[in-house]
Amino acid sequence: MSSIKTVEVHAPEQQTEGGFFVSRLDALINWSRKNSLWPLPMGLSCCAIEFMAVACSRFDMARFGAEVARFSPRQADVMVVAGTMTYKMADIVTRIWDQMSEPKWCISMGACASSGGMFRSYPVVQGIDEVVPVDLYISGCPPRPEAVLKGLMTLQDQISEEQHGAEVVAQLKDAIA
Amino acid sequence: MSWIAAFTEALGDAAENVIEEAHDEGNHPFVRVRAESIVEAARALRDKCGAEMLHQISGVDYAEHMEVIYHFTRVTRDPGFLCLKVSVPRDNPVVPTLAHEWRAANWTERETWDLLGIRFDGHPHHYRILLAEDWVGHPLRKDYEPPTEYHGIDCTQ
Repeated sequence: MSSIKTVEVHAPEQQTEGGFFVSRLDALINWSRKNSLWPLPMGLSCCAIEFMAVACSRFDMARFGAEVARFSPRQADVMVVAGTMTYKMADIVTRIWDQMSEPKWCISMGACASSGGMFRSYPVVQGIDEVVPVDLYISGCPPRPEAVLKGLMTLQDQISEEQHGAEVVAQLKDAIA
Repeated sequence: MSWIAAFTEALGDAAENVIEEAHDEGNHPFVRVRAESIVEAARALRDKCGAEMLHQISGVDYAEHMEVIYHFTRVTRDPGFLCLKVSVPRDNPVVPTLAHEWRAANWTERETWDLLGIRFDGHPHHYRILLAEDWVGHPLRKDYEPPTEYHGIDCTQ
C-alpha cells in the first residue's frame, strides 16, 4: 500500500459526495497485480512438496494474495517451477509458459530448477533459464517455506517497480522530435 | 534342495540345451540360460519352482557383451530370490520377450531397451518408456555420448 501515494481531496459538497484520491496509474496497476499473484505450481519433483507447505495454513501464502493456485496456464500469473526439469519435460514447460497470458512471471524454486542442482547427467536441463525467462531464483534444496515467502515478497517488490507505457512515451517523444 | 537343483530337474532333458552356467554358491546364486530359451526357463521357474513374482529385469553392459538379469521372488513356500541371467552379443543384443508370460516384464523390458538398447523380440509395445521418444542413443551403454543439443537447448553446460 505504501507504494501508492494518495492525496485525499475534499470536494465542495454541492458537486460530489465524499472524497476521492489521485494516484499514478502505474502504481495502481502494479499494486493490484502484485497483491493478486495467482501461482501455477509447476511441481516437477520434491520442491513441489515444500510448495504445498507454503500454500497450507502454517505458512499460508494467502497472506500475500497468492493462495489461488491455478492448474490452468490461462488463469495463472506466476509459474513456480519447483523441481528437476528433464529435457523431456522442457518441451512441456515451454509450451505451458507460452500458453500463459501476459502479464506473467516465473519463479525458479530450488537448486534443481535454478541450476540443475546435483544432477549433472544426460537427461537434466542445467537450469530452467535455458528455456524460459526467470524473474526470481530461490536457493535451497528444497528451500524453506520462509525462503519461498521471501521470494514471493521480492517478486512483489519487483512488480511494484514495473514501468507501464514506457514504450508509448518513447514513441511519442520520437514522433515529436 | 536348492532352487537351482529343482530348476534343473524341472527342465528335464531340455536342461542341457537351456542352461549355460549354474552358480550355486554365495548369497546370490544364479543360472545363466541361453537367450533363445529364456521363455521356456522362466515358465519352468514359475510353474515348477514356485517363482510367483518377476520383480525386476535389469541389464548390464560389460563392454565385451551385454547381460539381461531377471529377478524372481518366491513368496508362499520357501521364500527367496531366484535369478536368471542371459548373455547377448553387443553388436546384436536380442532376447525373446517375457511380456506374454509375465505382465510385469512389459515395462521393465521397455526400460532395459530404453537405457541399454537391448531389444526384446515380440514385445507388444517396443518403444522408449523413460526418455523422450526422439532421444538418440542408450545412456547406460559404456560408449554412450550425451547429446550436445536437444530441441534447441544447449546440453554442453
